[in-house]
Amino acid sequence: MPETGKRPERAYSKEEWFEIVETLKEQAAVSREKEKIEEKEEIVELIQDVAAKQLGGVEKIEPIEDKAEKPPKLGKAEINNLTRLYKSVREDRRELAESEIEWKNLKAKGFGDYEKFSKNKKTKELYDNSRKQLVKHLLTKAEKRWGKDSEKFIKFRDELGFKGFVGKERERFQKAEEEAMEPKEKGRLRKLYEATTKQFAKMPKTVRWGISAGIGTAVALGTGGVALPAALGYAGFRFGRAALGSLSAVGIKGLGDMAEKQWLKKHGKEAREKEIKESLRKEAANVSDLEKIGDIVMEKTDKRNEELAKLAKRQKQWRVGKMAAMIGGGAGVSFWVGSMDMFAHEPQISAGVKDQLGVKPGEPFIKEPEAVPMGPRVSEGLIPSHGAGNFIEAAKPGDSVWKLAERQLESRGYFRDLSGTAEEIAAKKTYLIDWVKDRVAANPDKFGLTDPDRLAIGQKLDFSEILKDKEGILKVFGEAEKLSPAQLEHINYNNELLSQWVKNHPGERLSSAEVAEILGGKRLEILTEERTISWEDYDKTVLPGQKELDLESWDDYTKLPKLSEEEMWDLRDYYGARDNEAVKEFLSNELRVYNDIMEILAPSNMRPAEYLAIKDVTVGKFLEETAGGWEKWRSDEAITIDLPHDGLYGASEYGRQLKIAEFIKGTQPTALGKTLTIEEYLKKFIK
Amino acid sequence: MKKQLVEKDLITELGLGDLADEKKIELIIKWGNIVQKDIMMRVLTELSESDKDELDKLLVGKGENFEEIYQFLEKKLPNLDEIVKEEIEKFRKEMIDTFKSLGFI
Repeated sequence: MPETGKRPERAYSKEEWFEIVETLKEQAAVSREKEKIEEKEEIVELIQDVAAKQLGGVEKIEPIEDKAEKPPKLGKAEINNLTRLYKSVREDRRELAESEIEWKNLKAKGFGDYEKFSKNKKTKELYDNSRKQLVKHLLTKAEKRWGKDSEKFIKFRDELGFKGFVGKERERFQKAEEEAMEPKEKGRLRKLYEATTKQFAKMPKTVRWGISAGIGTAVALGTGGVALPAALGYAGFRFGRAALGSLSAVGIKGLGDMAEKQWLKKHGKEAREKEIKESLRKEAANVSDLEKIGDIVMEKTDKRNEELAKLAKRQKQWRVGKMAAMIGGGAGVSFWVGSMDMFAHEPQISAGVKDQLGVKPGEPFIKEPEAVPMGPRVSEGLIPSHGAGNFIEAAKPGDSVWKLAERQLESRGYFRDLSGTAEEIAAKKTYLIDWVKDRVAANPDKFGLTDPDRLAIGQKLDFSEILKDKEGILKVFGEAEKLSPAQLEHINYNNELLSQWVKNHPGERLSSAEVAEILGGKRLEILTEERTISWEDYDKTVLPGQKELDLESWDDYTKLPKLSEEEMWDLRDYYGARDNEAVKEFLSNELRVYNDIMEILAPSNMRPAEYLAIKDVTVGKFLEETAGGWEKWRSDEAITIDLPHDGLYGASEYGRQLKIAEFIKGTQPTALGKTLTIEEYLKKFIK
Repeated sequence: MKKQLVEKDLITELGLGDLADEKKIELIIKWGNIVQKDIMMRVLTELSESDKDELDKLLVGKGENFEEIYQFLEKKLPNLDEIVKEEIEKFRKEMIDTFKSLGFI
């Protein structure tokens, strides 16, 4: 078992760091090139993701236990085969990408005739051929193992097509094309792409999702008969949320159904039906934009036609009403909604849609949206007892204005009808309490306070003035219900930061000034509780060598079962091992390195699974992605942070990644050092 | 015609109709991102050198002025919509050809 309990913090002197970094530089200079690392990663990925998980058994090495469940190991010969085949694909891909760019440049100058561009034709043939060989090889092995009609074979073939040749390989080809572009052109492409990404980042998550799906939906369904209105990121805007509705056309029940299931689970079917009818009745008069139609398309199919028809009837004076009726006609039509700009102030409608709707030239397609009052879903009836009951709260030990406000709102049932998940409701509560607290803090005298941060035990606060402000209450409830997912996430994130502060400062009072500092990022503190690594942590983690040796538990790890001669033959080359003892020695060394790295990382509190998620990221990329620090995390740009993580990417894990980034930056990595993976880099710091 | 379009969606045509919904969504988003970039690459090859210099100036805004960038491209490339359609169709054809050639369908 690995050692549990406190791990000592390892401290190096400045001189030691310099020495280590110098050694690192020398080693990196002779042994690493970015290209080789990428190639290795791709091959390892292929072998692990596709072959090792799905194919396996090419050398007929039987699993030690439970033959039906465990995938056998790959033999050295098979690994060599796959590596050779994959290298061919990679080389031919690069050749073709270079040739494609060359052809495109010639075409731009008026010399482009693809068919006559023999170099291109030849490289394309080579690329096709090497891919064919690789696919044939993998499919033959799988067929031999499972049989052509077996479920496993079909699943493997689908996965191979899906993972290897529809998505990833095409992405790699595009990347190779980018690499082949002239530096200036490559820079332009990057900036143009960033411009789109930045535009995306400003939007709520649901809209971003819709945009991403926009062009993809067009790809899935084709463009025939549909007038696509625009290009680039802008095309995404114009598909917008309607793309979500279109997914049903490709057999995807989609997010609408998922949301539906969650709602049903919480409230039941009858309540759902009632809610649909009631909300449509109330909102029909307020439908003023096409996004609303996008929402309705998301409703369950059996409900939506009926409701859309009603809506169309009520909205007959508007074109949007006709559109609603059209959508009711079938899933395919929802794609037509995608031909409109959901987000532009003045929507641009394709000629085909205009014709169908009978819109005359020059006639406005859609009525200008009317101003919607704040909180359209919040009726007075939902806000309980404005004028009755006890508005006074008395302070107990440890109370604050915040806590008194929370108690008052809770006891009067203000939180009862907040909607959303537990996290969303928690954020909305915070929003409401904050509003009350701010009203007190704005005029402490009125509430008998000199300092809103200081309450005497037994001091009474009368909230009647605030809670009898019907207009103000309705407004703030409306605002709370309209908070975007990003805003709700942000509120919960701030709460997390404050909880961490309280945990780290037992018995200390959290003043308004401190809150402002913490949330402003000036006094950010991450939990500094003593680090322990439990066996549970290891259980969730894939340990070095585990995949290759099919080891499921720590016991397997420490007491390697006796290996057959055949297995040993494989392992001899694979691990440089002579016998069981040598394998143990190898693994023990691997584990030592792993544990030592975890020890180096101990001050950051990073957990093993979190480390394993980022260990293969290059130092350069890691520093680049974390350069924005907390400011970036709190901004809309947070979604552009492209780092692997363990499960849900929360502020705590990002905080730990920042600590690692700070540590690495402190070692002043060179340009070559930045091409190493985090693991390779950290290994150099192990004594 | 719309019915045909639905029936001939790419996922079904590639024989991937049995994939789980999440995988289909993943594919659609991936395709969207790939074609988005294909379109951008194509746009860059279609612009003249002087237009590209102009674009460089707009790109200094780092995406804050995307409306302006888009309007510029639309002005310089009146066939922008056609480019989008062509790239989408090109990608679809390429996927189908690849799948056929590799023996998946």
